[in-house]
Amino acid sequence: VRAVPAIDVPALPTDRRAAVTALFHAHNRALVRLASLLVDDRETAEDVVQEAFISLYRHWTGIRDPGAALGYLRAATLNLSRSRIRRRRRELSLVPSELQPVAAADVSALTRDATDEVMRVLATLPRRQREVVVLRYYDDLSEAEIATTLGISPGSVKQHAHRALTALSQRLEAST
Amino acid sequence: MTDMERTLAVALRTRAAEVDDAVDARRLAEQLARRLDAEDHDRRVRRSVVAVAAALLLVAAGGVAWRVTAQAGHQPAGPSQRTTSPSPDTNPPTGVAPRQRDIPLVQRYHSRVQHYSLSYPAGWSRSPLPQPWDFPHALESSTATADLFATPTGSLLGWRSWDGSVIVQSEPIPAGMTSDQWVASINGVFKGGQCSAARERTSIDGHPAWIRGAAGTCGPGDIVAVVTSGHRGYVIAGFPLSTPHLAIVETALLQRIVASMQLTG
Repeated sequence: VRAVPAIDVPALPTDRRAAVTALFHAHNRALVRLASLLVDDRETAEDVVQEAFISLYRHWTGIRDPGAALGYLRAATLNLSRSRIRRRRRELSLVPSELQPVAAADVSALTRDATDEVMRVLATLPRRQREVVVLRYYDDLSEAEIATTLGISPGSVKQHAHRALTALSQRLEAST
Repeated sequence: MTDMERTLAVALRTRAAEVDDAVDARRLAEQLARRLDAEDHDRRVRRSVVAVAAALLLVAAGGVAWRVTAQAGHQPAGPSQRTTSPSPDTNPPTGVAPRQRDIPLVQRYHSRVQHYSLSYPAGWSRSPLPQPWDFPHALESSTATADLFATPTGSLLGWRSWDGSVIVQSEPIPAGMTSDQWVASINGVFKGGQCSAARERTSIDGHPAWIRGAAGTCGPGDIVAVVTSGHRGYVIAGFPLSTPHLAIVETALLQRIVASMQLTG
């Protein structure tokens, strides 16, 4: 997102290469974590984030402040994760595996199995619902920020989140 | 937060932490450096190819022009041939794309939410904001807080870079605030920001307005206009695009779009 008057934003190096490298050191880990929740494996997530930074480097003239750059990176990471998932499904004809029963998750300390189960159920959600849930409950973005990142209205964000939570509850309960 | 939401948040953080432990930051930084080197190399190669192609075109065009001139010089003058002295050609050559400032603004958009209308060129996309402007987020521009009019090339990877676009935001002037106070509050934000530059008095649809060309970290040629009409205040911003291989949107075109506005607040 580009703020019309950029207010009190720390300046990036003026050199494109130095600026992208600085952004990489600041945000690479967080973006890899975010991507890994969408593509399910670390190697693909790392690759997706590298591509997002390369894309930022290519389109640097359109980016003029750090806030906009991070927004661009987040959106590019989501878009690239999406296309990786599509490609993978095409190549392997992946169908979400059948859910296995799992014990009710303990909120304070989820077991490895419970975490796996939540992640597996999450993977069965429609793509948009999954993205909204990850941005909301992992990245702690507000509805407005999610709307901006995904290019949808705040109302849609609310709807996707509600549907995702309902589906997750039902599917996790059904599996217990 | 419900139990389900807490469970979800914990699961996501647990999985993310597992990934984080395995990330080799140094290896990834080296990998990125190599890929950026390759990117720079490709860019240099592309530029060289374009330069060579342009040079070849120039040589070819020069050859054609020389042949035409040579043929004209050898053509015998017949009785019907006029011998009037040459006059300067006032018509533009055909086949040349119109200058940006001359592109007609053929599409008209009326916003009932933001109470204005404006004209913009054919082929530009329009993304009206889905709900009224929320003032605390007033100056953060996004498709959620502004009407966006953009040249199609302004969209990259599904992400709008804002270049080659005009955005419009407006809100009712808060109770107890005069128009001048509202304008002053908006201009105060600009003054403290990085887009500070000399502003000048102008008018939009007959209403007094401030318009400024941005500077500093804002792009050269950016324009930001602040205007009120009745009990409503507007901020209109235009961002030129100067990517020759994609498109060029000049500030003059952005100014014409802003000048086409009618304010109905």
